[in-house]
Amino acid sequence: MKKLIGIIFALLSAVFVLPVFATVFLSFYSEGTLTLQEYKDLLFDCFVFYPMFWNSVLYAAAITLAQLVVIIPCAFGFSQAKFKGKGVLFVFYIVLMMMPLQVTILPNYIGLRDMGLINTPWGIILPMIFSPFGVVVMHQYMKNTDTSVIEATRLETSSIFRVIITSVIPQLKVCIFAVVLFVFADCWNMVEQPMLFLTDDSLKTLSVFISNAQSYTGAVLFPAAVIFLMPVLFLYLFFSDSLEKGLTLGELS
Amino acid sequence: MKKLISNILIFALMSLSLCLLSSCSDESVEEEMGFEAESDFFQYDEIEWVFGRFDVGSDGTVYAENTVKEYVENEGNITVYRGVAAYSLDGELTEKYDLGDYFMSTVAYCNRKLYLTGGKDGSYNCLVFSIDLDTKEITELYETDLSTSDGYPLCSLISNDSLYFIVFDPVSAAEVCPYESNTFQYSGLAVYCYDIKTGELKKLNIDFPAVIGGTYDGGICIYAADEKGTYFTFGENSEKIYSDMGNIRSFAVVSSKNDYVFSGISSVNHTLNKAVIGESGCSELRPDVMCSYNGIKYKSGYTFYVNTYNVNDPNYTPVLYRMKNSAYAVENKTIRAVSPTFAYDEPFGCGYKMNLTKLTDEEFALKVLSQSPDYDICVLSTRLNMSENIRDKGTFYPLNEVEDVEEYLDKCFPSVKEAALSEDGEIWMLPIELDVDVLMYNEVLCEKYGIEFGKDMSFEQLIENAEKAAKSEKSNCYALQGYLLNTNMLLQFMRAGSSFDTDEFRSFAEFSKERANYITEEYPFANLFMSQDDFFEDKENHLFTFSSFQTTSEMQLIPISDPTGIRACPLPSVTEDKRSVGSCLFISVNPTSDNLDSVLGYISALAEYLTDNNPNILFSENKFGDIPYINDLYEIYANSSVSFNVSYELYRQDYENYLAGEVTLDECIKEADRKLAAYFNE
Amino acid sequence: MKKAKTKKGFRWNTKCKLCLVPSLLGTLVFFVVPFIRVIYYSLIDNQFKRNFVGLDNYIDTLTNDYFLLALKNSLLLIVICVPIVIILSLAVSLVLSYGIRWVRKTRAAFVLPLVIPTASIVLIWQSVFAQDTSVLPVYLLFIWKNTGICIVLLTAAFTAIDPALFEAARLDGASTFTLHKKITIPIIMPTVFFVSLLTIVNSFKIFKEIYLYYGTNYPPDHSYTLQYYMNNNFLKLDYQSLATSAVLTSILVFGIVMAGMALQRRYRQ
Repeated sequence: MKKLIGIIFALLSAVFVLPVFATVFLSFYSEGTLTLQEYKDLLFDCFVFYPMFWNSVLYAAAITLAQLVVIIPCAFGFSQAKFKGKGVLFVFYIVLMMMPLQVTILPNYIGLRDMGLINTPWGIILPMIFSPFGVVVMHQYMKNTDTSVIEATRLETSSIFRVIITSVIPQLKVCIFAVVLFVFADCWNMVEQPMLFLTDDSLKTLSVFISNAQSYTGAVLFPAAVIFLMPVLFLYLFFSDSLEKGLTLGELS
Repeated sequence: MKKLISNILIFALMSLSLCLLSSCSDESVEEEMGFEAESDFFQYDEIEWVFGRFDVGSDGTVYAENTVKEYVENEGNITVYRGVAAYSLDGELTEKYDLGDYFMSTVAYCNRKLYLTGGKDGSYNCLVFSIDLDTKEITELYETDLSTSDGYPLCSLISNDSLYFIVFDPVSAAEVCPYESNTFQYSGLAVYCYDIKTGELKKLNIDFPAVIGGTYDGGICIYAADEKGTYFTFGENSEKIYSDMGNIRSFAVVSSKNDYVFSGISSVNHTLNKAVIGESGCSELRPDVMCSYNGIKYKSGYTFYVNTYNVNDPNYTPVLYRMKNSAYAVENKTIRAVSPTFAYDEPFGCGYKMNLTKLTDEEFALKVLSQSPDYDICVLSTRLNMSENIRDKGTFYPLNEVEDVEEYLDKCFPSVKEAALSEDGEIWMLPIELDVDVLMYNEVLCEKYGIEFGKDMSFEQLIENAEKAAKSEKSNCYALQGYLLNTNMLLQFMRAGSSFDTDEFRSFAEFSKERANYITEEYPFANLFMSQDDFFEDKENHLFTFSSFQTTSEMQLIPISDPTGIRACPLPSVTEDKRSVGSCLFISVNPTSDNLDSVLGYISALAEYLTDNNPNILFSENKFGDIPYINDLYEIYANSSVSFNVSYELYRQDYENYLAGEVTLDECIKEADRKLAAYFNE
Repeated sequence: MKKAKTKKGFRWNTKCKLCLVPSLLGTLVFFVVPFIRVIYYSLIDNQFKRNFVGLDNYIDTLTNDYFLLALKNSLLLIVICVPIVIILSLAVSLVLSYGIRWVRKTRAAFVLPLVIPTASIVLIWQSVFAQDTSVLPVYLLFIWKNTGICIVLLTAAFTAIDPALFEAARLDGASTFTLHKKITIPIIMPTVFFVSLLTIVNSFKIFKEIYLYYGTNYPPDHSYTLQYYMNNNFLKLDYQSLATSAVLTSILVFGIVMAGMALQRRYRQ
């Protein structure tokens, strides 16, 4: 029985991994032979690649870190504060989270334009920092925190920051890793916002590069894709041990 | 007290004499004379074959090469007299300077002397020599090591008592330029500097220069390239201002704010432009201009330029013009034009500063829907499906009240005027070009081979004619581009309605698949693309060709001197509506632009320019003359209708799949209709 | 004494509420205000003439065949794919958590679909499914992409269950079935609900993949989702249809979320 499960499993993971392997393989394969030509085309001839790569890293890192600063207190507030309409507010967050991009792009563009943030990195970073996705996820996990520890810390200090930092964060370390991973992956993959809100090519991100890969000389799509998936993969592997320790959720409410 | 006054007097006298002395002995002070000419625009008719061999003195006198050639049997044109002539502001020849054994490649004026580069009979090296304007004496100043077989200096100018010139240098040419692009190639040139006072020649330490230009204050500006791209610099160690201008041939810097006048060589439009170094956007000052090396000089508010455009015309010689900058360049806030990626031509700038950016469809939709004030006009073609939406959604500024527009429209063909008016009678766009596909054919030749070509030809007859031509001895002498031909037919169907499920379409498609299948290439006619030039140039051997008259200038329309036998006829019509299908290039003004005054001024200027110059077939009145094929063209255009296309992806792929045999006709029609229904009813 | 506690409690409550402020402000500016703008646009006839027309746009959209088609397709995607994703990820997480040792090492593989860029995936998908004209490639793409996160979250949830609980229950003599029913399922359930929510959210976001796969703005009828409807109207400069469909979709989503929460509450009892 175990063997059967093992085989099915192997097949399943193969299905999952196959397209990725195909991408990696195709990045080394050009005109019938295994060659590094495509990598050469990308790394030596394609000068726009480097600033775009660093832009992706910069934006994703900035957004992730800033999100943590915003959403941890926010989730904490959601779980601890008592006020009427908390539930409705939370549902509202969930609804906002679901909005497809086509809807929000025009009003976002108008808003950013009125604030003068078009064609600046802040135009990309600021809206993503306040994305409701992080709040929702973090709130779910925060429900499961041990309130006794919080109470104990409260007796020692009245500074809410200290409470959060010393009592809540250690418990939620794993959850924070998970949120960091999702948020980073989300920002790393965003394409429409850089394409439409940024006009300078030097400010655009790697995801835009890949979607326009045909317009560059040489077959740079696959090597770029391979390089594209590496940072998030590393991030996952970095956190995977911690994630193995497990995380549980509170109820959705 | 007395002593004080006398001291002051002595002091004053001494300083005065000092000044006088210094002004006498300092020969290098340039005569700071400006000049004023009577007319804003002047053509030097007396100067022939001038190319870049001219310069302008500080009083406005033009010094240009003056040679006399004679045609000798078996030898062709040989030069019998070589000299330089001076022409006044009125274009009159005032003085001649004989060159004797020398011949010139460039000339530069300084302090009553002309400094020339060139060569001498019997010498194989490039020389620098001078002519004194008062004594007419020639003095040889320097013999360079540059061999004349490599080429002569291309442009020269005087700055700070030095003669700078740019010339092919084998040592420089051996180095590989780190920057080359589609628009820029390095030609192995180097800049040399001949110091007039010391008589020394040295090569400037600037790698990969392409052209030098003078500045308004007697300085020099060099356009060169390094690994980062092309740049402008005002000296060997000066700051580099990077700007990708491609292969410009001549320019001059005209103000302290780095305004410069240059001739665009690689763009679709051949114009004389003014822009700021390093900034995007430019003002187009004159249309149909192309200058060669050393072809632009600026003095005292006037630009002198040699227009070499239309050297195709064997009777055309390059002409020198003088233009007053202030009369042709408008100082306006830059007009920002946007255009979705596939618009072809750009409208003439009429001296207004303009900046055109190309956007993708999504970016364009975003800009329009967000009522962006940061673009002023959009340049579109009715071939793009976006154009209809602009009219229907009202995202335009009505041009009814703008000067000259209404008169302009009245002169246009009725179909164009109709297209420019919305349902409420508002003028929503200014049409610039009308583009109707036609067939050009050689009546005489076709008759000879038994091919009946003409107005009321059906599609089947056209294909039969092609088959006949293929079998004749002139089998390679006609061109029908299958893709374009079918596009035109499909557009006719689209104009007729929003469904392909008609008998006419079915019969057309079936016939097409069998006899005119450009996908599988099993058709008898050659799928060549013959340009209009090919057709006109080799009239004797060309039967007919598919042609689209995207004209931007008079010169493109009448390139031939002998139009006998050439006729034009419309493409066969496959629907009940017998009018030809045309598309229109137009400009629409953004109603929320924050620069409306400039923009409306520009629209007026453009309407006026197009009315006066009439470069395209847009007006119903035939101004090109009573030539048979021109009359045909006007008839076709008058009988055309402007079609607003829907996106090709809605039906093209299905039609091509049908031609390729991958789907049946019913499936093709069903799929195309499904998409069209979705498009119209979403 | 009690008064002091209430006061401290009051201040504590305020501080907690203050924690919410940065996020609320940001959300207000970047999400709520745009949403209100969208509602406003849905009530006018034209971006440029700005005449108030009330609910006319809504009636037009609701009676538009293509909107209804898009809605149907989007809902189908949710109804069919989300359960498959959940079941599949549950099965895989079970194996990962309790199964063979070496299998656990392959966990990283399931995260890959999440991080791979769309453009390269689409090329591969197109070559594999070139002959298929049904909606299967789209569903498979969605399932493939989303199972990853679900597996990660579910596995993490499984491994978080304290084995001590099992020990204690086994000592009490419970059978394996009751073990799982009473311990595992209640603990896992919130995660399952949450993961379903995430997948539904992602189903509204999937557009680029399908668009690149079909390469056209007008895919076969079965793949024509709400985002296509919105995008096409956007390109046709018809923002009103977009706005109304957005508002209608949000109402729908609101309904789904409320239903989900009510279900969860009922389940808890």
